[in-house]
Amino acid sequence: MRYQTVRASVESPLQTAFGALSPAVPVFFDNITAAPENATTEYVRVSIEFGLTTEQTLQSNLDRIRGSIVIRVYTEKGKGPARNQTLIDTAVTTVLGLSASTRAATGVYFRPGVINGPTFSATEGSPHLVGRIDTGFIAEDHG
Amino acid sequence: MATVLSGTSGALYYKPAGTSGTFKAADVTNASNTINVGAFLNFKVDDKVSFTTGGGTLPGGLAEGTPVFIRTYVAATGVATFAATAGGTELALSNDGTDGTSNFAINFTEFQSVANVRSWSFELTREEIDVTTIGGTLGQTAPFRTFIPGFADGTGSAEVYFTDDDTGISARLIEDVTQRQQVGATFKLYMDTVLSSGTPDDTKSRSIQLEAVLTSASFSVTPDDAQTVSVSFRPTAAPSFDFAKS
Repeated sequence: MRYQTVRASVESPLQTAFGALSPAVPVFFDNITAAPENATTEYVRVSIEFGLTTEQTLQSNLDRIRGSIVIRVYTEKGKGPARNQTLIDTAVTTVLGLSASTRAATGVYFRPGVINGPTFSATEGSPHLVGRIDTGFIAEDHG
Repeated sequence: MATVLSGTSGALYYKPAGTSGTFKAADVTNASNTINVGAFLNFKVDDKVSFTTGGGTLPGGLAEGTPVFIRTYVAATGVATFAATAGGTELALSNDGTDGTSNFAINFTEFQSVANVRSWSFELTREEIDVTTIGGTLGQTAPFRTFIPGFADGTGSAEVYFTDDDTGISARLIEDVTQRQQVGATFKLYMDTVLSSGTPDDTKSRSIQLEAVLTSASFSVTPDDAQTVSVSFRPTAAPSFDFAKS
């Protein structure tokens, strides 16, 4: 079981997808603090949490990785949700693309669950509209 | 130390179906090192098997109490060859042996751990036979019906995780449901497993052992849950209980 490999299988495609936009939108992952609280530009935050990662048998434990992904898209407040939803589309398309991966004899097989959202929120003190989607996932690491 | 509840140390061990047969000296062809142990049994390459003499003399090269391994087995003909070690070279049979008062027997030697079992259950029941007599003298209380126990029966099931590892005996347990000849299918249901050098110490462990027929396998696949197969079985004779720890 390799948590880092599973994490990379999510983060890497998202990094690629948002980096390919014009202009590119920076993506910040867990434990990266490069996005300042008072940023006024667009950006995306991706959070990956692991939940139950094994199943128990009578005599041993088997690998079965489950977790959740939360993607928050920060766009300019006061301009309507269109731009935010456009970026959310990129996130959703990328996550659904992970589901299309076929299970090979080796490597990580990743399946996102149902996608919840997007939901939107804005606070008075922030210059951003925040769009949020989240989904669970199951991953199999076949080494 | 307080008394420790068991339950987290259970296990399921299994001898596959179709792994018990009999043969006579006439079924042995020492020139080709083959024995016809019976057609359409379920021996697989590298199964560890043991022989009993039936009161006779086993074919030369085999000895009671000395397990050997299946090297080849052709189900359609029942002809098998053997090896002294798993994957080893063909065992030479120097003669056909001599029949005794009963047939030679070949049996799967050791219980195999079914590692992917998530849980097992086993229920024993007795029929109730109504032997109430009528016509007695009525008194203060209502007359009670009287029962005696009748035949015993049992059912069991095991929930097995389906994994990407096809080398264990889990898959064989599942496949054995459709094995026509199920002789030899034996379960050892451990309720409290004490291991010694990696194998259960049957003196200190507590278990139920039963010969059984496999009656069903239920498959389901969903994207949400781990894939499991539920296998049901039924004892063919009285189970033996070993609940002592010494």
